[in-house]
Amino acid sequence: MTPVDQLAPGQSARNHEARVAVAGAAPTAGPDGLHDATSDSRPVFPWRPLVLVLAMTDAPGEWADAVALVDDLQDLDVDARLALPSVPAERSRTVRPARSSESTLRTLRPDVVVAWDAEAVAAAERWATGLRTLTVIERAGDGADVDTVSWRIGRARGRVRGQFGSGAPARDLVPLVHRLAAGPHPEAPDPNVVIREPQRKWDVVDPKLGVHHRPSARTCTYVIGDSTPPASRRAAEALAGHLGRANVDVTLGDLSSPALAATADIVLLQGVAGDSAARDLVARRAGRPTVFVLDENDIGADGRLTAEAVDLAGRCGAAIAPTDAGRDLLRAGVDRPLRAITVAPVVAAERYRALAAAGRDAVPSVHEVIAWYPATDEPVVDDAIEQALRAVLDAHPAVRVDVVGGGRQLEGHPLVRRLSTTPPPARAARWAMFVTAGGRRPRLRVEPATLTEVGVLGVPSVVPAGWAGGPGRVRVERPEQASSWEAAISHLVDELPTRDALAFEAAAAAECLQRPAAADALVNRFLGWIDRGSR
Amino acid sequence: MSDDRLRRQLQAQAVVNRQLHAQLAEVTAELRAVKGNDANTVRVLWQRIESVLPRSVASKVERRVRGALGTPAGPRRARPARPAARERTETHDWLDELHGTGPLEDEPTLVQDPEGDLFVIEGSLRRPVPRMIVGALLTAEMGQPEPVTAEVIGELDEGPPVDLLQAPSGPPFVIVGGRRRPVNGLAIPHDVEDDQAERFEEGRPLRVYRLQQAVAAKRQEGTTSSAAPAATVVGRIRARWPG
Amino acid sequence: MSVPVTVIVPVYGGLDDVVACLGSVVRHGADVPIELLVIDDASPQPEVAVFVDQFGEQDHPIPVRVLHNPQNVGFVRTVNRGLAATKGDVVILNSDTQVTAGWLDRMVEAAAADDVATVTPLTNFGSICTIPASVIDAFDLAGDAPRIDECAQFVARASLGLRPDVITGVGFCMLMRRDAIDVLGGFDEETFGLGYGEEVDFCLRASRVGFRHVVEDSTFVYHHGGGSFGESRRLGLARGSAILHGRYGFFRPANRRERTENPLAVPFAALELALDTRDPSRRQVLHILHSSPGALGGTEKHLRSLIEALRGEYDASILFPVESGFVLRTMWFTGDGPPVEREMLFPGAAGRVDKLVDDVAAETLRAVLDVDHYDAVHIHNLIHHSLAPLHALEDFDGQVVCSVRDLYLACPNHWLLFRNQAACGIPEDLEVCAACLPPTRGMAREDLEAFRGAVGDHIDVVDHWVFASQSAADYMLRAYDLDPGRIELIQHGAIIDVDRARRPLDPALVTDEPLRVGFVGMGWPKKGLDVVNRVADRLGDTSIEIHHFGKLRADPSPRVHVHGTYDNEVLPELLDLSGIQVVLLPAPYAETFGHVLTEAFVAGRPVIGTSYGALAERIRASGAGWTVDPDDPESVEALVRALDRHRPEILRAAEAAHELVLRPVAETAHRYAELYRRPDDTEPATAGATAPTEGEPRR
Repeated sequence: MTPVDQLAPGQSARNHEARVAVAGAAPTAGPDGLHDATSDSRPVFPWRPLVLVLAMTDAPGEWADAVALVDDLQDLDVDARLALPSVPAERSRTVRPARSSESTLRTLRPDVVVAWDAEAVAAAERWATGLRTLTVIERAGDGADVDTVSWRIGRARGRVRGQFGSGAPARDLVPLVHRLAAGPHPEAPDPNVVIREPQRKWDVVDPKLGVHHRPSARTCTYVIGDSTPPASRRAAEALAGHLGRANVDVTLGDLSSPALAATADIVLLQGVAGDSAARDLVARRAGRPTVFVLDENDIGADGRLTAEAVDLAGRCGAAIAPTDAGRDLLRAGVDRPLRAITVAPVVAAERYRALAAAGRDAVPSVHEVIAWYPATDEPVVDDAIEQALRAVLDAHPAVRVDVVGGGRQLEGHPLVRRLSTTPPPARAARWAMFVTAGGRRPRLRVEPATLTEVGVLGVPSVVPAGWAGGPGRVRVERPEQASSWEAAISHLVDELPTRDALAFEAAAAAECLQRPAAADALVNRFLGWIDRGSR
Repeated sequence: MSDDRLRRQLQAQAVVNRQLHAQLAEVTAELRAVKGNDANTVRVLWQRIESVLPRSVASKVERRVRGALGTPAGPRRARPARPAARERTETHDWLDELHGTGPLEDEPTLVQDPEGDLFVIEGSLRRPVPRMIVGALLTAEMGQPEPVTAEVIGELDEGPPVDLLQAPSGPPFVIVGGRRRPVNGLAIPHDVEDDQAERFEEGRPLRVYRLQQAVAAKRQEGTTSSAAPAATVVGRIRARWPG
Repeated sequence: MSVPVTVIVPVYGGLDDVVACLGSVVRHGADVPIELLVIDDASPQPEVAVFVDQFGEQDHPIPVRVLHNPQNVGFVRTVNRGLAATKGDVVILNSDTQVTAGWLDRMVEAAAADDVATVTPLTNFGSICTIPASVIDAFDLAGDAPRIDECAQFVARASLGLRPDVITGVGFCMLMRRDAIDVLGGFDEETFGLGYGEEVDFCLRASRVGFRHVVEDSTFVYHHGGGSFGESRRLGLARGSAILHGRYGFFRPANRRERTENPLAVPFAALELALDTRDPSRRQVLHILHSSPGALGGTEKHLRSLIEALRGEYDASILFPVESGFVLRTMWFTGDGPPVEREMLFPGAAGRVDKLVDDVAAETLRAVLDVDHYDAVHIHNLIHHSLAPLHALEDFDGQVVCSVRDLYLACPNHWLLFRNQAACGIPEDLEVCAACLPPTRGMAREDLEAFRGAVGDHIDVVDHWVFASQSAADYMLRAYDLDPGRIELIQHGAIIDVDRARRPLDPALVTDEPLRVGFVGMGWPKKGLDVVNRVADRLGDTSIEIHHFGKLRADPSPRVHVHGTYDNEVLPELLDLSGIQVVLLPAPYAETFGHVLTEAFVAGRPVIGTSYGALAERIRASGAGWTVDPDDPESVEALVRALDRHRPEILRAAEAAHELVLRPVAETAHRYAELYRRPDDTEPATAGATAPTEGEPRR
C-alpha cells in the first residue's frame, strides 16, 4: 500500500473500509517540504476546538512525539494541526504538517496554540495580534502533569494559560484545550479603534409584521369534497385566507370547475379521494404542483389510509396533513415517492384579532364560570363530566356553568346557562376554564377549533388524558370517572393563582402559534416546500 | 414587649404594608391602562385609590397618576383586579353578566312568547321580565311586545332577568340595553352597591306616570295596537346569527 | 373594698343562647370583683323567664342578681335600667354571646388607661372587631360546633396586645367606665328606643368630650349574632345612621379615615400570621432575587422549579425588590398542597440605589435574617440589592450560596462588551475599561477599582459559588481569587417541559426544503443582530432564508423574516411550523449558560453559536452544532453556505442534539440541597442519584 499525499488530476478514488483504491494514472506524492497552511486547512464545519501544535526550534528528534500528539488529539475530537520548522521523518495519519510561520498561524486562526518550545511561545505572542481569543499551552518539563496557568488580572502571563509535561498523554490535554478555547479573551479590544458608531435605539418593530417579503403572485384552486366535515372545511377556509395574505389568489371550489383547476399554479385536493375526476385533474396538470390534503375520511376505521387516498396521494406526489401523525401515516402508507409535510391548522386572521381583543379587554367575573363543550361521541365521559359539574356547583356557591352547543345536559339547573350558538368572544373571555372531551376529529386527532380559540382568549382548558398536553392545559387521568374531573375542576376553582398561571401560559402559547405572524411563517414554509418540489 | 413580640409585630406591620402597596400598585396599573377619556372608569378607580390611601398621601398620588394617564398599556396587560370580596348575591351575578360590553348599539326589543311571558332581547340574550310592573313600564317605553315562537326564544342564550335594583344612593333602576334606567315612583327593589351601579352609564328615566298615561290611553283606544309581524324580530335575529 | 364590675345581660329570647351565655359568665368568673345582673325584658317565651328565675336562685361562684321588666321596654331602656341599678364599671353583654377565660380581667386592665370610656374585645361577629375570616374558619366559629375556648386561647397567645383606639365600641360586649357614664348619662333611649345606633351615639358623645375607646385585642368573646335581616332592621339602621350623622359632623370623615388607616390591620395580621406558622424543625432557605419570583425570565422560572423540587426538605422565602421596598415572600410547605405564601414589605428604595453598599438594603436583610431562622441564603442576583447582602451576611452562620448568572460582580457592565460592541475578556489594562465604563455605565475607572475592591473584600462570605458552565467560572477567575474548593459547576436544567416538547428534527425537512436559519433571541447587536444582518444581506443569491424570533430593538435587514416575540415553552412547535432547521446564536456576549441553546436542542435543532463562552463549551462537548466568531461575519456566511450544500452535516449535528441528555430543573435540585446543608448536617435518606451530564448520549 502506497501512502499518497494527493491525487493527480484525472485520478479517481474509491473508499473502502480501511483503504482507498485509486484508479487512473499512478498516484503522485505531494509537493516536497513544508508550506504555509492554506485556508483549506481550516475545518469547513467548525465545532471541535482547533489546535495548532507549533514548534520553532529545530529538534527533529522530537517530531515523532509531535506527530503522535496531533494524531491522538484528532482521535479525541480535537481538530489538531502541526507546524514545524523542518520536515518530520514520521508521517502523520491525519494531517500534513505546515511550515512554522506567521502566515500559517494567521491563516489557521486556531483556538489554542500548543507551543512545543519557548521560541514558539514567543512567536505565538508576536504573531497573534488581532486574534483576540488565541491562547497558548506551553510544554514545560518531562512530567506527565497538565496544569492551568493563572489568567488572573495582574498575574497573567500573556496568552499562556496552560502547561503540560512531555510525558502527559493527549487525553489529559483535551479538557484543558476545551476550557481555554471557551475562556475570556487574552487580548483586549483596542480602545483607539472605533468599531462602529453607537447603535441608535429604534422603536420595537410591530411583531405582527410577519414575513415582510412579498412573494410573487400565484393562483391556487382549493378543491374540497362534499363529504368533508364542517370543521375541516373551516380549517381549509382559514388556510385559504392565510395564503391570500401571501399573494396567493385562492379559489375554493369543487371538481366541477375543472377549467380553473387545471391552469392554477397550485391545486389542493381535499376530500376527493376515489373521485375519478380528481385523478384526471392530476393527470391533466402534468407535474404542476398538485397537493393532496389529508382529510378525516381518508383514514379508515382501522387507522390506516384508505386505498383511494393512497392512490390519489401517490399520483399527486406531494401531500400535507394537519398533524405529524397524519404526515407519518402518509409517508408510511404510500408506496410511490411522496413528499409530505405537516401544515397545522391556524386560526383565521380576523378571527384571531377578534379573540385576542376580547381576551385583552375582558372584565373579570365576580364568580367562576365554567364552560363545558359536551362531546357527541363520548357519552361515558360526558356523564362523568356532568356528575362532576353538579358536585362542583353544589360545593361552590360562586360557580356557574355555561353549556356550549350542547343538548340536555344539566337541564333545569338554576346556575347553568345554555349557550346554543357560538358565544360572543367577550363572554367566552370571562370563562374561568373550558372543559371538554369532544369535538375532536378522531381519526386525524385534530383538536376542536374551540379549544384552540379559548387558548387565544387566555382561558385554561381541562381535557381527557389521551389528548395532547400543552401550556395552559390540564389533563384528567381516568376521564371516565367523575371524581377525576371533579378533583381537577375544583382545584382550578379554588386555586386562583394556579388558574391565573395556566391562563397566562395558554394565552402566551396561543399568541405565539396562532397569531397572523405564525400563519405567515407557516405559509412561507409551505410555499418554499412547494417550490422545492417543482425544481 | 418581648423580643418575640417585637418580631411578630414587625412581621404583622410588614404584611399590612405589603397589602397597601399591592393595592396601590394594582390600581395605578389599571389607571395607566385606561384609554383616553374614559371618565367613568377613572372615577371608579379613583374612588378605590381613595379607599386605600389616607387623604394626605392620596393627593400626592393623584398628581403623579393623572400625569400617567393616556400612556398605552404594557406588552401583556396585568390582570385587572377582581372586585373586593363581599357578599355574593344573585344581583351581583346579574350585573356581572351584563357589564363589560357597555351600552349596546342596537336597541333592545321586547317580545312575548306563546305562554305570555315577556322577554327583553338584547344582542343574543333573552332576558325574562318577571315583574308585571316592570313589564308594563317597558311596554309603555318600548312599545307592545312582538309575539315570537318558542323556537326563536330557544335559539337565544339565557340572560339575567330585567328587574328592579337599587344602590344606597339614588332611585331604583333597571338595566336595559347596557344602560341604567332609573325608575321613579316604585318600591321594593333589590339592593346593590354604589360602585356596582356606577359601572353602568345612566340612561333615560322610566317614569311611572307615563305608564299611567299609557294605561289611560289604552282604555280610550279599546284594543291594543297591531303587533309587528313576527318575521321582523325573527328576521333580525336570523340575520344576525345565521345558522 | 372596691365596687364590683357588673356584667349586665338583657334577655329577651333565644333560650339556648341565654343558657350558654350566663353559664359562661359564671364559669369563667374573674380575678377582679364581678357580679352578674340579668334583666328579663318581659320575654314572650315563658321558659326564658322561668330559666332566668331559676338561674338567679341557684348558687354561683359569683353574685347574681335578676330583675324583671313588667313589660317589654326594649334593649336600650333595659340597659339604662341596669346602669341605674349599679355603681361601678359595667359591661353590656348581649345574651347571644359566650365569654372566655380571663376576659374581664384583661378588659378591666385596658380600661384603666387614661381617658378610656369603653373597651370592646375581639369577636367573630361584631363590626370592626370581627376577626379575620381565616381565623373564623380555623376554629369553625361560623358552624354548629364552634371551638370557642380554643379560639380564645389562640387569640390570647398570638395577640400583639396593642390595644388600638377606635371611633366607637361595639355593643355586643362593651365595658363602660363608670366615670364616663356619670359624665355622659346612659344611652339616649328617647332617640334610639328601638335600638340601632345607641351605643355609637354614646361613644361619639364620649369622644366629643375627650374620651377614648379601645379594643382589647387579646380577648375573644363569641357572638352568635346573625338574627333576622328583615325590612325593619334595614330601615332601623338607615334611620339610626341618619341621626348619628346629623348629630356628629365629625363622624363621616372619622369613619373614612378609620377605613383607610384601619387600626386593627396590624393586630389582625398578627393573628393570621400565627395561624400558619412554619414548622421550626424544617430547614429553610432565603433566596435573594432581583425581580418578582412570578416574572417570566429564565432565572425566575428556574427558581420556582427549584423550590418546588426541594419542598420535601426545605421551606423557602424569597426577598426581592419592588418600587417602595423589598418584599419577603414565604413559601412554607406543609404536606402535599400548595405552600403557605405570605408577603411582607420591608423598607428599601431599590430603584434608586446609587451606592456600592446600600445601607437600607443591608439593614433590611439583617432584619429579615433576624425575624425568622434560615439554614442557608442563596443569592441569585444582586441587581437592585447593591453589594449589601455580601456585607449583611458576614455574621450569618449558615451556608451562603451565590449563583453567578451574569458577571455583574466582575464588572458592572455585566455584558462584558467593550462599549457594548465587542467582547472585552475583562482586560488587564484598565485604560481599556476607562474608555468603556463612562459611555456604558456612567462610571469612572476608579469606581471599577472600588467596586472590585469591595467585592474582593467580601468574597469569603460566600461558601459556594455556583456556575452553570466552566467558562463562566473562568471569567470570574479573571477578576477574583476564588477558592477552587468553593466553586461548583451545576448546569441549569431545562426550564421548559422537556417531555412534552422534545422531538427529533424531521430529516425530510433537512433534505427536502430550502435552508432556513433561525436567529432566536433579543434582536439587537449584543445578541448578534449585526452579524445576522450582514449574513442575510449577502445570501441574496441563494434560497437560504434567515429568520428572527424575538423582540426587535434595532433594525433588521430587509432580507430577514421577522416573527416577533415568542413563547419559549412552544419554541419547538414554532420552529416546526416555520420550517427552521438550524438555530443561529452569534452573540458577541459570552453566555454563562444559554437557555436558548437548551431549547434549540429540545427542538432537535443544531446550533451555530459563538466560539467562546458557554455556547461554545456546550457545542464542542456535544457536537450538536458549530462555532463561529461573531467578529468574522464572512465565516458565518461561509458556514451557512456550506451547510446548504451539505445537508448530511446538518443531519449529523441534529442527531447529536437529539441524543443529548437534557434534564429538567428538578433533577439538578439535589446538588443545591447538598450545598445548603451545613457541613455537620446529616443528609436525608433520599439524596438524589447523580444523573448523567449533558454531553453524554442518552442511550
